[in-house]
Amino acid sequence: MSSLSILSSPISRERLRRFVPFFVLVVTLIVLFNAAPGLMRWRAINSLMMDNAPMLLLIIGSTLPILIGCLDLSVAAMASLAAVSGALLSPMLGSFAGLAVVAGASLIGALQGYLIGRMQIPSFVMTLGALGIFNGAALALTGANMVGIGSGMWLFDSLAGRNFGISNMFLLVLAVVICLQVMLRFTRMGRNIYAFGSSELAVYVSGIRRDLVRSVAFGISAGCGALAGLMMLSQTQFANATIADGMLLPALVGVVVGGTAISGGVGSVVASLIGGIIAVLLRVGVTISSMPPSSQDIVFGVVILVAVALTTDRQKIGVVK
Amino acid sequence: MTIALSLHGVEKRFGDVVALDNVNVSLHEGEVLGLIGQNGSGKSSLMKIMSGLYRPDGGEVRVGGKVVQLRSPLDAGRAGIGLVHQEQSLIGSLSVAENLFLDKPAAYARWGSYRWTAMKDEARRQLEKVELDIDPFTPLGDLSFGERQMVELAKVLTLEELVDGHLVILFDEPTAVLNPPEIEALFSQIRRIKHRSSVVFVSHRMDEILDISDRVLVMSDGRNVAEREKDKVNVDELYELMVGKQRIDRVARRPRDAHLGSSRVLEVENMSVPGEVHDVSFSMAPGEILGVIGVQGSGAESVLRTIFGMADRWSGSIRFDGKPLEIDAPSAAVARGIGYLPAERKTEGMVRNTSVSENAAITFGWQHAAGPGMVSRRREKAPIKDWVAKLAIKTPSIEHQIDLLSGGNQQKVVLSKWLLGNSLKLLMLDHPTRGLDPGARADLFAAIRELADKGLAILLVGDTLDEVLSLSDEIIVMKDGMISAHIAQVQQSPPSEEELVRAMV
Amino acid sequence: MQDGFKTSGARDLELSSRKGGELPSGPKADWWKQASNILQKHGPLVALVGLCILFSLAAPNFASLGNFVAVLEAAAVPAIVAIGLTFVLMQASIDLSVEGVSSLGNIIVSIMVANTVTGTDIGLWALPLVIATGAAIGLLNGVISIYARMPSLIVTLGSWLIALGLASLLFPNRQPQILDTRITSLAIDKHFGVSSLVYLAVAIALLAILVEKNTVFGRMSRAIGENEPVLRMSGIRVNRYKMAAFTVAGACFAIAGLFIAARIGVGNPRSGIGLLFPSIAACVVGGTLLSGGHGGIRQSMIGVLILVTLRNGLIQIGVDPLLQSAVEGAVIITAVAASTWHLRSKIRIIK
Repeated sequence: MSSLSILSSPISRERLRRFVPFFVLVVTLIVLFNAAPGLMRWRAINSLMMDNAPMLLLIIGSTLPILIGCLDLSVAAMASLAAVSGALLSPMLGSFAGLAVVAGASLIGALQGYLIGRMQIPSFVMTLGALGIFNGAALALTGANMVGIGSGMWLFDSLAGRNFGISNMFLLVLAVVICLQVMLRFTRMGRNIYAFGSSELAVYVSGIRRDLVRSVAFGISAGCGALAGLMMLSQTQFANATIADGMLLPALVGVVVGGTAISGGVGSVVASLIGGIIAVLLRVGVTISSMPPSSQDIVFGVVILVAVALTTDRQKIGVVK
Repeated sequence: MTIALSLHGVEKRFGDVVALDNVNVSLHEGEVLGLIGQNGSGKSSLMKIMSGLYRPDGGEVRVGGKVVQLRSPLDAGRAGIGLVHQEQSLIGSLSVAENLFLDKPAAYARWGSYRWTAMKDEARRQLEKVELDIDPFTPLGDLSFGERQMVELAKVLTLEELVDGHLVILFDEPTAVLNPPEIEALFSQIRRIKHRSSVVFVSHRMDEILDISDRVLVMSDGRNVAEREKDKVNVDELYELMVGKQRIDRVARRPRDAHLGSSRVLEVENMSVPGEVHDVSFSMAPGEILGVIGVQGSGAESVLRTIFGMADRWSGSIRFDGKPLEIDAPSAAVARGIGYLPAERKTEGMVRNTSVSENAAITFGWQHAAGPGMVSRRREKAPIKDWVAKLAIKTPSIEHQIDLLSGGNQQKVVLSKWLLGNSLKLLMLDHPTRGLDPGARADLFAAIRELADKGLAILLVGDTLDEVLSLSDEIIVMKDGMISAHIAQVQQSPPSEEELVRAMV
Repeated sequence: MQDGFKTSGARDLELSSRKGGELPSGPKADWWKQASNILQKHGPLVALVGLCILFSLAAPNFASLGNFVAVLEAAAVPAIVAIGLTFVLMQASIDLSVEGVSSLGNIIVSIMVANTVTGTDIGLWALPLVIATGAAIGLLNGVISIYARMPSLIVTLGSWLIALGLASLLFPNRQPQILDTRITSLAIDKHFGVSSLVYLAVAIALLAILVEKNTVFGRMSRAIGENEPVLRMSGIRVNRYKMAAFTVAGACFAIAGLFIAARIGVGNPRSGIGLLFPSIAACVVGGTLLSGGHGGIRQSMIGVLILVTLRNGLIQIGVDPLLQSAVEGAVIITAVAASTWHLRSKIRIIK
């Protein structure tokens, strides 16, 4: 087989695509470390990871709805809502506030997934509406003020701490990635999720319950969003209703850069983690270079266009709207 | 008598399958030529070639004696050939007038803006041709089916102004969605326009063809097997001709009935699906093969899909394995032990961009795992490879992408999905051998027989007569949503092909 | 936004009474089809009137002239955005770049006319410049989505970010205050109690209605959303109309930025933020569905009025203004669900 024909078979293209994000990451790291040797210190890396752990978690959680071919626009708003809810509940529940918030968020996310199927409205619409509802709820709960947590809460203190010299938040991110990756690779639901993203109709006719798949995907994205919000809360000890609002678009960029196709069925949470780290490094690169900070948005915008153009399975889309 | 349109030696192939084989057809000016044939006879491919949707792989098309190259429906339009669809070429949110002139909006617009009065007058003129007296600015979506069909016809007739001489008007099963008074109205319009155009009329209903046609053309197995003048038509002979080659390729029969007991695994009573199925009842024993056959629109597929829980609205009752079957989704059907191989393999059967093993394991793979909710690809390998061997699936490995396999092998993989669990009691197959080469067909036939021998009940909607005749213990023929014939003891005393075709058409 | 189903549910009901006998529930199905049609055609207007009546009864200040003016003023900017969105939505595409393009429009106006920071003053030439910029971005959106075959959702997501970034890039070190009174008077001068912006918005809406009903572009836009493949087969240059729709949208968003500049009197690179959500909600609630082939300018305008009235009324009756977005979120979900309820089917794929 000539080398050209190897490249043209879909399986090899698939393998290539999976390695590209990793490759890009390495290149970005090299470029960055050349430009700013100060970054190579462990401390710098660690604080970078800690600052961006919430964003990475959002990216990881957002991957699941995208894997099934949908979109969850409410993740960032959920993070904000979770942050303020965590702060408000902490006087009563102490550290269990965190558990309650994550559990509640997951249920709400699962409900979203279920309703999308029942009402047959686009996930875009459902989650856009949910975005508004979460925003409004967060604003109303806080009265548009900041809310804070007292000190001495185990959960929030430990989140801010570190083990083995690595920030706990980043460890948590890694733990979530590992759990989700295991779920995607080794459970029935994981198999169903990938199949759903590739051919929803075939999955239906194969006897799989679509409602369940959607609920799991949106439940996980909401849960991760909530966790991200709690992380932000423990970072700054304060939260307000819009703390995470600007993070939605960068989160989508991270997912897409990691190689997960918007059309669904292709990608993984590990890929999203890599994509997220690349996005973070891009941001760092823009900051330390002489480019004005506003170029960040422009760069992200261009990156999203290029990344999606390369990863979308056009055959699947048919008429592109 | 001048020839309006003729096809000479036309061939059309789709991969290995020959849709049209050396077809010669002549359409005389001013006549109505009725085209009749079974599924797969080639009549729809013929229509598509005449209307420019397909291009022939061999042979030529002549309009008025001159050879033409019809590369698209637009080319056909310029040659004076128009196809009246089942109103698939109309836009509901536009007005009647805009639909009539859909391919030439610029003719009634100046600087991008419509000249409504000019369009309205011209539209009225065109609508008069079909005696349709409605406001040309009515939104198309507000019209009834019959009226919409007339607008379709009027749209084709607008070609008269563009082309010198006669039009050739093709009707592709126009009566499928019309009620009797609307069919009569359509026929009277056809009789009116006969004087200035030539018509090809396709239908699967023998009585309609005999009513409207001057000549009847019978298609079978991709060939034009006979032409008869209306007054020389012998209906029995037509049925015989429609059967064609299928008679010859009969596979060896299998005496089965000794095993069938009186217990019923499936009982369907008074099943009705609005618009598709009307009052269908039948039952099946374990290990029985029940073959259902009907032309397009007969409702056979809907019966299967309703049993599988895919119908939005239906009435009637089903008992499965002695207990009522009240399900609303395939997942529930699967849980009870029912499987379904869909006709649309690419969209409903296989999961695309995924390996053979993932496709095979998707429904029942979990049964081989270590714990609940888990999946063990390692443990699934052996059973999957087992079925790959049993069904003679040709694939370099089970990790190969299913999209790269041939149609026949893809179908076998989708079949293996249902067999992996060994927990099925009823397997429903919807046109399982459609588009398959003879080797794959034979393999599938053998597999079906073996499964039935082991006690699996099989409900099969067949593509061809020989399929149901060689496999079934009982045959149900469906026509227009109802059972038109129910034949038992097929293997002992087989019905003739003509008997079946007569009930189908 | 692709709706996998092309036939309308109402038509399916009619089809079903043709073959093989009756529906399980005969006359009830006819009623449902009728009700669904009426709801679609007149529902939003009825809802608007209903809201007005309700709020007039519940809040004493609602039905006053002053409040009526306030509603109109509040509706001006979303109306312009909705006009731009309408053509795109009818074609079953979407344009998310609202906030970026309008912010950019605002910035361009603020730095190009007489202001406190830059020396440039091109006077009223800023208006065509702004419109041209918006149109150019819109055209680019159309070109990329058509020729790179990417969903408009993603393309306009990208241009949203890029335009926002450009707005930030062009923002000078200090916030520019607009000195040219011709611009600011648009918002300040009142004729019959209502600012020029409202009159402009009405004029643009009327122009848009004329375009929608009388031009090939306008009529084809709805057709494209309903059944694009058939149009292509008929030889219609669908791509042209698609690009035109995005261009118009970009221009409208830029005009919205101009309106904002007139109102706030300064240049703010984030001034457009918060426009997208209410405008899409307004279109959908009014009947211009995301699935395409439905609605129009008139419907979208009614939708804008509904949303603005809702906001206004809720404040009047004392609902916590912070809950506003929650109410709107619920409204958008309900409206879309209600409008597509009759299309639900097991085999339908909605992503």
